[in-house]
Amino acid sequence: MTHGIKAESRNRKAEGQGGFRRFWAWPDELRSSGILGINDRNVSYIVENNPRQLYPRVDDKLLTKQICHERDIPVPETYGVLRVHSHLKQFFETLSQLNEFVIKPANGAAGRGILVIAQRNGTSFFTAGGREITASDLRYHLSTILSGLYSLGGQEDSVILERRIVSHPTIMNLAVEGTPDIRVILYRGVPAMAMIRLPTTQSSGRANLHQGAVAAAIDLSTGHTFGGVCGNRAITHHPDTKQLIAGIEIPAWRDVLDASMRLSDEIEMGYIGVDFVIDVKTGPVVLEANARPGLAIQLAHRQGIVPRLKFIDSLTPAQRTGDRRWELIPGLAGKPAAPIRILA
Amino acid sequence: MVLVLVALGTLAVSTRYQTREQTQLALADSLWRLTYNVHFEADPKVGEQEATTLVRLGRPYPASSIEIVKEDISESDPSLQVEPWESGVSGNREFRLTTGHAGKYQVTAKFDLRLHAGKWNSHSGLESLSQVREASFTRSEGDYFPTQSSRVGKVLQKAPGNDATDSEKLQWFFEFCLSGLEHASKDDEGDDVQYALAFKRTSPLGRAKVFVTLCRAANIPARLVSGFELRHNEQAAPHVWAEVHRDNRWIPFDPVNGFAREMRDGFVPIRRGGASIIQATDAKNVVANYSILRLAPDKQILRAEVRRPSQILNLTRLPLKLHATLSLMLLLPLGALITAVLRNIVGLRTLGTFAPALLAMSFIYASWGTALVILTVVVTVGLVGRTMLEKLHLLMVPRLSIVLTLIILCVVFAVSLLNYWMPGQSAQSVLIPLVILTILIERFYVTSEEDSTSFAVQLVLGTVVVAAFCYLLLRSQAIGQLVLTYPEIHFFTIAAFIIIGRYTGYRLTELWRFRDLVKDKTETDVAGTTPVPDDESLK
Repeated sequence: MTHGIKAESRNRKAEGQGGFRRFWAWPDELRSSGILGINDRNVSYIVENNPRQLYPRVDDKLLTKQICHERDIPVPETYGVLRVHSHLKQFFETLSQLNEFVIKPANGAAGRGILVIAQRNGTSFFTAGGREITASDLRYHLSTILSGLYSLGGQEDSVILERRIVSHPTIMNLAVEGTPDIRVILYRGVPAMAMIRLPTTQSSGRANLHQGAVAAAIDLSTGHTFGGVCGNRAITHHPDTKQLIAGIEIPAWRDVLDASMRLSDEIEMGYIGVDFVIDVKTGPVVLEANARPGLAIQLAHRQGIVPRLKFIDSLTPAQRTGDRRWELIPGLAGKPAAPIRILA
Repeated sequence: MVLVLVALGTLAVSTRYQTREQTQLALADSLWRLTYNVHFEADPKVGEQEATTLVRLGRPYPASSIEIVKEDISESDPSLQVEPWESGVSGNREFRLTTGHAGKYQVTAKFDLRLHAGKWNSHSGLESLSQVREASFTRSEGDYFPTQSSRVGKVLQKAPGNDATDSEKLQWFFEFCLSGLEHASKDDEGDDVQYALAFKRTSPLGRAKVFVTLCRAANIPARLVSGFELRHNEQAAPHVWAEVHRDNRWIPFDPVNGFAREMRDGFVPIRRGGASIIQATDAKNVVANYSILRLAPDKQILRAEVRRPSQILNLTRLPLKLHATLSLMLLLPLGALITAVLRNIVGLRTLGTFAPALLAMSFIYASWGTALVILTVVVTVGLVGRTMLEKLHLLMVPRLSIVLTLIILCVVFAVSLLNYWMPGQSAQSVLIPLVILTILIERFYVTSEEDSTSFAVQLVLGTVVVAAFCYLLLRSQAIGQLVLTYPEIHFFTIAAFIIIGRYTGYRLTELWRFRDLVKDKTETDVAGTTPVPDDESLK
């Protein structure tokens, strides 16, 4: 009885004060909306489905790449790997022959330590955003990666030098500075949710939501975007490019899903996120896989992920393996979100 | 698992608590031997049938503070019959000695008593008085309790009148007997109530008798109690006090020593309703010597401090200097518990997992003001140094080492400066774990570079909040002492960690983060574009 009255007064509050953004959701409201919380994600999904000993397959990008190679899953070509300081000079020589490339730590997390060079002028390098990086800056960056500044446990790390992916124009035009990427969350090998992350000026070219990037949900069955979120608030247009972010068709969407499912089968973890970039020439390439994918994808969908995970749980192993998975996707596909109120 | 841990913890704490209490009490308890040495000459009345001499020796009462360990009586003549006896009505306990033969007898009675420390005898158990018995405790007994005499009447006139409560009257009587009467110079002088009231001078026994008389005259049931005070004395004399029946209990008043409503421990009641320990009929020359001896405690208790491995479990036996360090260490898991709660249930984010607890620990050694000043200096120097070093493009370990060196130099001179301004200020605040701080500074710097300064500041704020909670906990001496005494409390801590480790509910910050997802749903319902979900809370 008291419960009912409480909920009622809550609703009245939410409706009555027009432009007021509520500050708080009650746990039972979140639960009935199917929102996955971080504790539940860790205890019920990650610990249950992702065995510790398999973590290197996702944490070490070199290993992920190797797995992808074996299964013909497209990844950006590796130009070189730097493992020890003594090879730095030699590595740097290879690198200074290239005009555009990406440097990333093999064990980096959340896009830390990734440097994208789009242009070279003699010994000066320029990022995609036009920032100049001198040769000594670059060498310093390589050595900080090696000393483990960006690696997960602070351990010594390796540097990966790889081809710079030039994003497909449909997607590229949406964002500024950085490369938009696509994340697919797979549960027990079945794609559960997908979103596209668009860098903004605020996120300084990075595609991480907590740094201010924009995300839009992707309908799994059609590859069309819908929804949209920036930080914690719903949006419809990219804040910098003013482009509408809903209704975009992701190029080669079927390839993305196919690659993500094959990689998930290979990694053998039950709950992973796979990040893609759509290259203008080669199509979708895998950037990395993540064993602890974030929960912001629910914000992008304006939906909780739990109903989809529960649906996948209810399937027989035969239904959720191999090509039969394609039959599931229309059922899992998110409906376009209900009309949302835009905040002035 | 959690239940097992909680059960183990409860078991360990309670066993330790009990053994601690027991040994402490056992050491504080005392053993006494009360000895009666009684000589009498039996003088049975000749000519009567079955004429006997009866001598009654009062035996101590077991009371809340007194335990009777052993009772023993030995008689010189086998013709003396000894019979332990207990009165069902008054509860008096006696040894009854009977003999049919005339002659001299000698009896020695020994009572070993254990006096429990710290428990006062306030009153005996509940006892309701029948009308007959109540009348017997309010009646006049000739010259012994002359309640009807004019002298008693005079005193009563001065006492509070009829509208006063019994308690007020009792208090007045008590004070009158305590300070209204002078001490008699001779021991036997003034045993008599009339004498005492006439000359305002009385003996200890007389004082108790005056009190009982006054109570009885005011119609309050009262009686005398005789017993001993346990203190080493080879020639002990019985002590007499009074008891008043109020609220179904006999409540002691001792107008000689000034104890009201509560007797000190160490007073052993022997006979209630009488002033004499030994009562004899048809006997002459009754001479009794009483002695009270303090006995040594049990050997076992005295051997309690023997070195044995189980003492390792007792941390309180360690030197006081170690106490502070050990209790701080033992408090750290609780600090970690706070961190776990704030991270996993509230959802605060911190720089490093245990850095807040360690920071808080370092604050313990300094006054927090000093520590704060030093912390500010360290952080400022660290950040400035780190920013300047960025240009040098150094490898990580040497870079960290330079920052550490800079910080140490600043701290050392800051301490010197503090000492210059306020000599005597403790330099303990230097104990702030500088290495932890250096790494935190590095992490802050990287976070603000890689993510954003606002995110880094958020982390710092989270760290400060968690550290503040930990500080409040670590500072509490009471909790520290508790954990040191009962380190098994950490069974509960581990149980709590397991519970938190399995907690799958939402974090508090998520209630805020995902709040819009719920709002959209209700708006959808209002718009009617999708079927209303079967949500009970909306009914």
